[in-house]
Amino acid sequence: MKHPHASAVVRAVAARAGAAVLVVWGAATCAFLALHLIPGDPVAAIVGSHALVGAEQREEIRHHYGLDRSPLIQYGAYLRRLATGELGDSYQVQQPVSSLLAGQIGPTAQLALWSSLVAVVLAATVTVLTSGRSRWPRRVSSAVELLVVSTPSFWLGIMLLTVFSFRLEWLPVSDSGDARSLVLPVITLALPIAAVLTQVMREGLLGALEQPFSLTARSRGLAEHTVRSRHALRHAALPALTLTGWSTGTLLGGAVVVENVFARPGLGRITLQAVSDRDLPVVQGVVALSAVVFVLVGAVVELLYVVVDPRLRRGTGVAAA
Amino acid sequence: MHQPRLRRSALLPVLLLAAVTACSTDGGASSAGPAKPRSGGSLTYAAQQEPDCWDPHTSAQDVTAFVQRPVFDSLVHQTPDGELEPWLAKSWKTSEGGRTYTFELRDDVTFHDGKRLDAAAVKANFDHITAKATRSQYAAGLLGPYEGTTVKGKYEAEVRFSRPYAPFLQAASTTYLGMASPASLKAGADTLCAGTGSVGSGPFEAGAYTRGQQRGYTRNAAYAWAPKGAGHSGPARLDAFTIRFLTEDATRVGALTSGQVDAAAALPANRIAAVRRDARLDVVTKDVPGAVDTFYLNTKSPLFSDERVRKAFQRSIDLDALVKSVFQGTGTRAWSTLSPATPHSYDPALVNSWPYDRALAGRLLDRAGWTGRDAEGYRTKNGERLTVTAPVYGQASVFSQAVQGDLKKAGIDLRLAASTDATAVSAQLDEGRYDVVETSWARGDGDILSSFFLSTESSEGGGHNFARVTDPQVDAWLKKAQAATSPDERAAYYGKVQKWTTDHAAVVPAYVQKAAVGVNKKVHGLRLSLSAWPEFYAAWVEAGR
Repeated sequence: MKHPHASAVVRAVAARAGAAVLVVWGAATCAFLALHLIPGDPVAAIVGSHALVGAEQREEIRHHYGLDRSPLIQYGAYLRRLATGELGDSYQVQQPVSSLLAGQIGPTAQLALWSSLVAVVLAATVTVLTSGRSRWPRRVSSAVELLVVSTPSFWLGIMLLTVFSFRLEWLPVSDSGDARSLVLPVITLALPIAAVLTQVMREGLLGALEQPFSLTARSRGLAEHTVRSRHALRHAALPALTLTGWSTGTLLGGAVVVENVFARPGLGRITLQAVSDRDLPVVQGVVALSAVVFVLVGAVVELLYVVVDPRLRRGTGVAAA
Repeated sequence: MHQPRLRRSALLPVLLLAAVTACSTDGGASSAGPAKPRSGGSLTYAAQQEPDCWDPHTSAQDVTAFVQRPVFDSLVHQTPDGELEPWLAKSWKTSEGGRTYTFELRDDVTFHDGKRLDAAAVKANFDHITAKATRSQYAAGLLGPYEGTTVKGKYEAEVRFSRPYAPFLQAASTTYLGMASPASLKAGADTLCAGTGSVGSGPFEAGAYTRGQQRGYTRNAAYAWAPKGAGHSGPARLDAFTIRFLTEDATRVGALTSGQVDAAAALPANRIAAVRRDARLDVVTKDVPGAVDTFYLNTKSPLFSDERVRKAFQRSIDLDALVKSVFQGTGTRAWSTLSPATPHSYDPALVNSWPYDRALAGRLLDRAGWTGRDAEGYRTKNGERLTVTAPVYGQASVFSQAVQGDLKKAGIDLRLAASTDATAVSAQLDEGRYDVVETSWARGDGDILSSFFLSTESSEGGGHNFARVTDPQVDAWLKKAQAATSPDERAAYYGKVQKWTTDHAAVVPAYVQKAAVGVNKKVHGLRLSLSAWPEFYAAWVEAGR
């Protein structure tokens, strides 16, 4: 009772955890339904049409993967496994999905984190530099942003490779463990995100510069750049933060393209292969993992709100903001 | 080895073509420089595809057979010309009219784990392949009517079949029936599939593997049992090599032209000329053996049960012109379902036997009652348009679309029903709901015809009888070919089947695929196997690399 807010915090955390479980369960169920409503025999997908597999062998495969049981029982077994973090065995690779994903999450996480970081730093820099009185830097930047956003990342990646790897031979096309091999994939993934972030942040920044507090800061004799980066940028950061959270979650989609173009190992590569092979356990595992990542990123973003906006640190006053 | 028609995805010829690794016009060494072969060095090879499962005893992917060939030796060796010669087996004899094969094994072969290869190891491998728990998708099928193996002596193994089975020797030469150390077979499906537990007796040992990236190979210094036709003897010349998995064409070709890899598979047709012009690079090509890219006409479909309509379809396509324009020299027009590169099976008499003849096609369609024309110029009968349905997994290839254009000129509407849903396409095939299927399957033996034309090889049973041929005469020829002991006798039966299928317009063979591998001129002796995959054993690189 010493902390009047303790029970409120527990309730908030419980609600959050409950919502997280719901999200993961929903995503997993959707994946299960989608993959099971597709017509056709999954055994055909497992063996491939061109395999020399007789009827008896097919039955053995069907039984091994539990495909001879009713969909409801399969769903129950799937949820039970999911709850214990066990995702079944891959049809094609014949290994536990969990260890398959665990082995591939490192390179993708590295790629995603660096890309997010580069995107944020790049966006903040460009925003501050192009939100001055003069309009032309803003116009040039907007044009470039539009170009980058509308460029398919596949093409962007190939262009970067052609210039920096094939022509100039500065950077390797693919390599293991070497930091140099991260440069081009990170740029490929970060550029479109940075472009979108810049647009959102600039809008917020320009709005904030019109606010009375900016006038106050200026009248105290602060330099224009300080006003922009210290004061106004914070205001621009909140919507950008939400967007960064979202884009980090969607980086897996980008990783599918980038990992294939740059021949990097990772979840994206596994996912593409699993989808084209109709490797159901792997696809379901990737969906469940993505849901968990989304939930975690959402939680982190909410924490960061509080860091960025001091008004949120007080239990009250949020509504006033 | 069959080409990468791994899943139904393989229905797309483009995919196939891309997956094919290499082929050489001369079928020989990549570059015969004046320099003397040297030992040492390493090279990097860019493959176009990565295996799902690395266990050749389980996987049906031919890329699996390729990446594991350096690790696993076989009892029999098939040379790039298609001849069978001793390898791990010094000799063999057949008895009981081809039901029993007795192998005399070499007594000096050791696996990478130090264990000796003996008759018990052969038995362990074949029994493992055919065991239910292995869930073999291809190798067990290659063993056909396998009954069992008997250990007759330490180095004498007798393999028995329930009926005469002549294709066995060629099957025994594939990586799918490669010999693994019996101890390694106990590691479990997941380890074997992961490729980390590959223990063979090959000239290279399996090295570090990063899924999605690359696998390393290191020289087996003890290697002393290369087959005669390998082009080299003793340990391999390369200290090591690496296969990188560069699935994007642009990346793979760029890596080759910028010198980041020493050789690259599956050059796209439109890049071959540019690679050839590069003074530092060579292109090695080779025809792929087995079943060429062929249109299988469903002889049981309402439309194509009329042989006249099938024949009209067959004669309406100007294949000479289409193949030339689409493949720019990386494929040749086919006359038979079998590739001329298939040893002892191809029937050259078929050449020019069914030339392009649109006038004949028109007469045949008239006789079959397809006399009307609709607004778009397609032929009609009772108000119905002459529409031929072809299920396509993924996207229709440029070649299929070119064929579609040709058929339109003849008043035939080829509907390329593209779908990315593998199981839906499978179901369509299994149930026979189509008029035509375009596909190919590489193998270094004419018995591939059995899987396409035996009445029992239905799609749902795992076979490829997409033409739905159920002819007792064809069955008899194929069975006799399996039982025949002389290559000539087998060739004669396979010739009859080839002629029958084109005569009855059950097939429209389209083009023979050529594999194209780009190689840096500093690499020597990287020859292509019969199946048009690079062989690393005799390869070497110039010093200073």
